[in-house]
Amino acid sequence: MVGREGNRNVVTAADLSARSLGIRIGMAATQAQALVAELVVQEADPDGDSASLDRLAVWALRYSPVAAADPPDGLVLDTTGADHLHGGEEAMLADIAGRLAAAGVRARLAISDTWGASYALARVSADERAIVPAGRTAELLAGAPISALRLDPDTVADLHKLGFDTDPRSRGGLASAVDVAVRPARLPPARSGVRQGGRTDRAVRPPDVVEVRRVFAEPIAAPETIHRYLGKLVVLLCAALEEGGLGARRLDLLFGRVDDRVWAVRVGTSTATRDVKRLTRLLGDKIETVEPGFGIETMRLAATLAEPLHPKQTISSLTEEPEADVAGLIDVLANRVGEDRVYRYAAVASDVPERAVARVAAAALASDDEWPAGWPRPARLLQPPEAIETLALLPDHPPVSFTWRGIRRRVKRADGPERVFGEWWKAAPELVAVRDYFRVEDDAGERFWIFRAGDGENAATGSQRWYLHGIFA
Amino acid sequence: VSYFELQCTSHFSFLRGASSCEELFAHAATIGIAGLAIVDRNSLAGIVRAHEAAKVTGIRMIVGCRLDLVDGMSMLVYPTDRAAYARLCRLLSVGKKRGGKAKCVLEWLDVLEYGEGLIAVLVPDEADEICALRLKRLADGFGDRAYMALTLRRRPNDQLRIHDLSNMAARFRVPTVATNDVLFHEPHRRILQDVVTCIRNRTTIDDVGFRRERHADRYLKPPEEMGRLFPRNPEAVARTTEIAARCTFSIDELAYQYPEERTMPGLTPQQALEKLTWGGVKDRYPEGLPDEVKEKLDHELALIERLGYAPYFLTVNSIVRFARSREILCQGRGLPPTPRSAMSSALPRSIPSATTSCSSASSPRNAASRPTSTSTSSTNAGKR
Repeated sequence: MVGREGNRNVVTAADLSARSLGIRIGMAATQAQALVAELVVQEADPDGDSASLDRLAVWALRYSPVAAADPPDGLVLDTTGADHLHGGEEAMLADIAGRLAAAGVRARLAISDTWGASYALARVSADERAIVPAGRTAELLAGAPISALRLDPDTVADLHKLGFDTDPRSRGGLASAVDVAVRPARLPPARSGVRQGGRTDRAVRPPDVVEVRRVFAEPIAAPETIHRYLGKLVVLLCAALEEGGLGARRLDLLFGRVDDRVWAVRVGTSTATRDVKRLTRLLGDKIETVEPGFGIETMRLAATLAEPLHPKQTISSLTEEPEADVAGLIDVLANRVGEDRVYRYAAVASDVPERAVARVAAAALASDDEWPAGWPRPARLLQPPEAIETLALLPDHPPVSFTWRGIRRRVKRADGPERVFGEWWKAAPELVAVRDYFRVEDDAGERFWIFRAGDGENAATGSQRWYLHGIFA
Repeated sequence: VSYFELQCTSHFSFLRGASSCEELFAHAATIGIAGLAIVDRNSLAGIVRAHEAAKVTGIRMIVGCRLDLVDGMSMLVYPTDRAAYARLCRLLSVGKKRGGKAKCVLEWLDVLEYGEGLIAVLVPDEADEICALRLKRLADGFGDRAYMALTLRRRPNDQLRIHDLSNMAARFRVPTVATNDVLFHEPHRRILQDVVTCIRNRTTIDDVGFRRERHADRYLKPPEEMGRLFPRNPEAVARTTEIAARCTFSIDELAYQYPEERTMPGLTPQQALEKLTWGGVKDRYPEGLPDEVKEKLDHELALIERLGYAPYFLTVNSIVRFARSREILCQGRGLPPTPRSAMSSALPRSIPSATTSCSSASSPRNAASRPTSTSTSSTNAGKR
C-alpha cells in the first residue's frame, strides 16, 4: 500500500512477504520499488479503511456492549462482564478469531486488564490469542518493545535514539527520566502505560437500537438505588419494545461513572421477551458486580439484540392446560452459570449410539427426530466403550461369557445381533465398518449392551474385538 | 438345501432397488440360489429383463409383484398361471388408473376381486393386532394360497419377533415362508441404496435420518446361510420351494394375441378366408383358374393356416372393403421387391399391401415378429 504523506509517496502497509523482502512502513515508494522489482503496489484508501474498521466495530458489539475502532488497524472491546455469554474469555476469543477468519481477516487477539496492555500484547505476543490473568499485566508487559506502546512513531524513534528498547518505566529507576522524555510528545501517560485508559468516548453504538437512558443530577452509588432506577428503565424499555413489536434477546446496561469510565452489564435471554419482571430480575442479579466508584451519572439500557415478538392469545383454562413456561428459569440459570452449561439432550436420527444424541440449547424447539420406540437402549452409555474378553461362536452368536473390569460373567440370555453400519458419508473407515450389538444378561440378572467391532465374517468390517458399551438399568 | 428368494426388489422399483435383474440373477447363480422372484412395488416392469437374465443364467424366475395397499398393508403376489397373471395385470391397471402418474391406489377389495389364482404372501411388521387383522383377512380371502413372510431384520428383539409372527401364523393356519427382502445383490450396494433413498426423499445424506432403510443385510444370501439364519423355522425355508413349484406361470406363455376378428358365423377365420378366396377367384378369373395360380394359392393358404394369420387377412379385407365402399383410394404399403402374391388378387377386389408381407412371410424364421408390425399399420390405414 502506498499513500501520500506530505508531498512524497510512502509505503503505508506491507504484507508478510513484502516485509520479509525488506520493505518497511514509512519507506519511500520509489525506494521500495527499486528494492523489489515485482512489487505489487496499491493505492492506499485511508478513509475506506477507517469506514470498514467502524463497521467491524459495530459487528464486534455482539461480543461486548462497548466496542470502538482503534485506527489504523485495531478494535478495542471492553468485555468486562460480557465474556460469560460466550463461554468464557478463551471461548470468546476463539469465536472471534474463527468468525474473522471465516470472513478472511487474520486477527491477533489479547485480553488483559487494560487497553494499553491488550494493545501491546495483540501486537507483540508470540501467541495469536493472549489472555492475561487479572493483576499480572505489569510483569507481562515488562519485556514489551517500545513500539508496542501506543506512542507516535517520532517518539518511538527518539526513545530508540536514547537507547530504550523496552518500556523503561517497568524498570523503576528510569521511570522519571522517561516521563520527561514522553510528556513533550503530547501523549498523556495514561494512554501508554499500565494505568487504566478510559477512552470509551469513541465507542460505537449499533444503529436502530432500542435504548432508554437516565441521567442523574446527583451521582448514585447504592445498589438499592441502582436497582430502583433499573426497574424504571426496564419499564421504559419494554414499552419501547412493545411499540416496535419486538422482544429482547440481549440487553446491555451501561453505567456511566463520574470518573468517565463505563461499566457494562450484559444479559441474554433464551427466547425473545419484553416481560418487565423477568428482565428486571435478570439485570438485578448482575447489579452486585457493578463497581460504582465515585458514583454513577448515567444509566443506559439497550436491547442490542431484538427479535419480532407478537402478542399471543392467552390460553383459556377451560379448554387447555397452559404449558409451564420455563424460559425465565433458563435465563436466570444461564446468566449465572453460563449459557453453555444450561442445555437439553435431543434425539438425532442416527443408528450409531454415540451419535444418536446431541446437546441443544435449553429453549430450542423440539425436533421431529425420535428414538425408535420399543428398541431397548441402555440407561448408561460408556464413553468410550470398554474392551472385554469373550468366548463367542462366529459369525453371529452372542458370547458364552465375557470378562469386564476383571470380573468374569457367564451369559444366561442374549438378544442380537443388532447390526449397525458405519455412516459411510462421515468418514472413509466407516464405509465398511460394522458393529454387531447384543443385549446380554448374566447370572446375577445384570444386563449389558456389548458389541463386536465387525460382522464376524469379513475382516475389513472391523477388528472383531468385543466391547462393552452400555449398562441397562 | 434348495432355496428360492421370493422377495427381490430390482431397480425397476424406481429409487428403491439398487441392483439390476442381470446382477441379481448372475449373483444368485454364483451362490447357488435355485430361483428368484422379482417383486417390484406395484409393478411388473422388471419381469421382462428378469426373464432374459433367467434364461442367460439358467436360474428359475418367478413372476411376482409387491402390492402396497392404501391401508398400509403390504403383500407379495405370485400368479400361478396365465389367467392369474392376466388378472394381476388388470389389477395393476385399475390401481394405476386411479392413482395417476407414478402412483398406484389399491384397496383390499380390489385385491380380492382380482385375486383368483394368485399366491399371496403377507409382509408383516410387528406381531401386533394390525398384523393379526391382516393375516385373518388374507387367510379368509386366499385360503390355501395365503402365506406369511418371515424376514430377519438384524434389529433388537429380532428372534422374538420371528417367534411371535410364526405363532400368530400358526393360529390362523397360515404357513410361513422365509424371505430376505433383497434390495441389492451384494453388500457393497448398500451405499448406492442410501443414495437413491435420499433422491427419493429429496434430501441429502446428512438429513435423511431414519428414512434410510433401517433393516440390515438386504443382499442375496446363499441357501445354507438362509438355513442357518432360520434354525427354528426350517419349514419356512423349505416352503420357498413349494411356492416356486406352485407358480407354474412363465413369461414364455405370453405370445402375441391378435384381436378377435369378426368372421362368418359358424366358420373359423381360416375357413372364412378360404371361402372368401375361392369366391374371389371366380370374379378375378371368370374364364377359369390357371393351374399355376391355384398351386400358389394352395401353398399360401397352407402357410397362413400354419402361422395362424387368417384373422389378419380378414381385417385387411374388411378395411379395403370399407374403403372401396366409400370410394377412398386404398393404397397399401409393402416390401417393394416381393413378388405380387396370388392372395392379393384372389381376395375380393384385391388387397394390395398386406398380402405382399404374407409372401415374404414364407420364410418362417422372421415370421414370428412380423404380424405385430403389420397389424399396427393396418389399423392406421383404417383410421385414414
